[in-house]
Amino acid sequence: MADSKKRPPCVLGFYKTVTHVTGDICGGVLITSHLGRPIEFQCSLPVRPNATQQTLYGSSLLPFLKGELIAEALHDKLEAKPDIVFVDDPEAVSDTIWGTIPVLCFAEVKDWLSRSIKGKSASLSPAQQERFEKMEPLLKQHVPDSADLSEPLVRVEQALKEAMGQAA
Amino acid sequence: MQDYAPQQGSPLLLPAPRVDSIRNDLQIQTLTTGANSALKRWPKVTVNSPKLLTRPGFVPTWKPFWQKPKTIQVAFPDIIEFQEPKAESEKKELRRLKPPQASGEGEEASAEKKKKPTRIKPPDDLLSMEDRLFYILQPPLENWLSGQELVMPFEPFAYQYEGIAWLFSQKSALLADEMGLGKTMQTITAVRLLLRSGQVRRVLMVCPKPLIPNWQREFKLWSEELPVTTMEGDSARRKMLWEMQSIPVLLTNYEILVRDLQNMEEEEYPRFDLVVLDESQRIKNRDSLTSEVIRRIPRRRSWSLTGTPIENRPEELASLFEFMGVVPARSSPDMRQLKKLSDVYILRRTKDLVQPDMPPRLDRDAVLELSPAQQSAYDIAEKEGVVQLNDMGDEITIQHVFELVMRLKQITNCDPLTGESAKKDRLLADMEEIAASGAKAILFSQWTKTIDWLAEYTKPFGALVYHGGVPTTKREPILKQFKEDPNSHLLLMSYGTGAVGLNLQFSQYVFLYDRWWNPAVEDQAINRAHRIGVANPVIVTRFICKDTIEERIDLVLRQKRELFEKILGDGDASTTSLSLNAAEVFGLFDLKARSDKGTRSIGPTSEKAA
Repeated sequence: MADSKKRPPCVLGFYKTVTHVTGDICGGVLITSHLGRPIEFQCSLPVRPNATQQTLYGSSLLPFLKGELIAEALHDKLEAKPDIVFVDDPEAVSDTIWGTIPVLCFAEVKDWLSRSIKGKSASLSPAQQERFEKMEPLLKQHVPDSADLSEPLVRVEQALKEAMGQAA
Repeated sequence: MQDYAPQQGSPLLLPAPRVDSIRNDLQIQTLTTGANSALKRWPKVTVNSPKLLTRPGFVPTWKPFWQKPKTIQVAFPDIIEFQEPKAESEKKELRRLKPPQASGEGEEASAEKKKKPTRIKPPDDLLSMEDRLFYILQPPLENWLSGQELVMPFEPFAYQYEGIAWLFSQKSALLADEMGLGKTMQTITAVRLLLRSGQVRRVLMVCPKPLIPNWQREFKLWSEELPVTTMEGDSARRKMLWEMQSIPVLLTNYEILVRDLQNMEEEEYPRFDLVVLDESQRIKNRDSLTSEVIRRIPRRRSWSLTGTPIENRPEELASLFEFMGVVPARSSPDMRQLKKLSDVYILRRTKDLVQPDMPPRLDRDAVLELSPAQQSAYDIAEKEGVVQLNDMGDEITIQHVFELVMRLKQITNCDPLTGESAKKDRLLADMEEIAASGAKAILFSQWTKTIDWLAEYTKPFGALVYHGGVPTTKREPILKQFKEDPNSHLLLMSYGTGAVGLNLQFSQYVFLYDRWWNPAVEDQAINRAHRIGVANPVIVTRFICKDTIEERIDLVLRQKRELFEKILGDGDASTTSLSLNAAEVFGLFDLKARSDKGTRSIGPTSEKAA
């Protein structure tokens, strides 16, 4: 019997936000091994945009909150940095916050490239194409073909709802 | 200047404007310097960036700054890896096996079930958010166990996935699935997941002594990589095993556990992350030494496994709850409270519920006429016995009545003088047919003597004997021979030894040669054959001799079956495991029980009978 402390060959990140009926937004990122086993989870406390933010960002308020403010806070706190991040909300994507980590969105994003990964169609920022292509062989090698890469996002959503329920 | 003041009584009239003209024919002299053509050319504009000599006087000093949201972290323990067993090539073949599909279950229905992943839910009584998130963020069990990370020899059924997920998250749990639904497999898999995910590191598995080989076999089948250590050997070796912290799963029986721990000081007691009690009805009496010793074991999680959480009285359930730590010591929850606790801490599924299409169990009562010699012996014994009991007056005790019942039951099995037996004759006739068809049968009796006696007559059918008189080391080979030898058609077993924990689903016939005091024990015996994996209907034959004590006992037991259903839910036909109490035994002969003994159970324990 031995504790396995080594980093898995491929570390995946799953980022999702949930909006409460009150308008508060909560975000969470789940870091898993290539087999979906959780390694780390970070979630934000509920964020409510203030009047200044609403005035300044206007129609781009949600992309700012989801894609930048919350995502950056979570990214900074992560101890296990993922090799790739998956999201399913175009408003939560950002190709700057995650630095060199490629972000794939399981939804159409304007001006992004269309890619297919483990049987699912996804969008990829043109700026991250090169980085993604470098790590794509890792995904192909270590993540099982039967893996459902959108499933962990369901876990994140449930966890956020549980957290918001307790915070409320 | 004109006077604009209006005249008195006349309207205001503005005068017409005066227009002056100015001459604009000014003379401009152009010089012949070439400047005119230069003016007509487009100027060239260039930009230079000279450095400022001083700090500029106006700079916007405000820029947006947003405080970062606070975050919460959930940490997951490191994965514990066990050395994978060898002979990988053989196992790969094993992985492809699928469980037998219940008849009538189409592929579409199976596919539909597979679509719904089994998620681990946090228990209702878990308050810490981090702990709750830990369970929510675990992958669905199907992903975990589909061979990506852990190998399973067979794919579990949907209800088994649910059971595993439930156990995984429970600190206090009573898995009370009906016999044959795979409590062992669900427990082993949940233990495996807890060990692998670092949630537990030291597990104590306690079971009745005859079931040790069964647990060893099942651990090897369902989690081959887990090292399981069986508590055996002399006291010095056992002491060493109790003290070793690095044993992930320690398997022991109730007797050794009590013997070893009662000699220890309480502060010396070994500490476990999880204690699992198989056939946990063994601690139904909270005052027994076994219960007291087990409750003292320091532990973080407490699981009970039993198909019969209530054998005689609801208070037995309270004893199990006390072990699980969900009721205070010595408390006596009422029926309403027990029901409430059952909803939270008990998971019970019946075959009807989870396997509606499982091959049925066909019960048939073989009501037999006693042979003439038996009838004569029976009549004399009953007449004399009742007369004696009546003559005793106030000195009569439950033991006297019980002795008479036992004597009469033995006569219904066989006439002691002539050896005549209506049951034996019927059994031999049935076995002719069963053996000819190549099928197998198991027979249960209360007495080892009866079993040995029957073994002589059933030799032509390759009968094998399995009861408490058979040494433990010889029992596994007997079961193996019964399973594999095509000439072995009958296994003669005692209720005490053979009724629990064995997997004999390849047997299509079950004979209950005599009736046990408790229908739950009979059900357990029958479910050795009628369990998950059974391919054909199981025919159960209960031998009941007409106009004898057996008919009267059968009637009482049937009436009592419904009494405790309300505690564990409707439609649960097998939980009603009630022994006859003293008043009911007296009633068998129209005698009245002493008032202070009215509720005492008089059935022998299964161990004694074996």
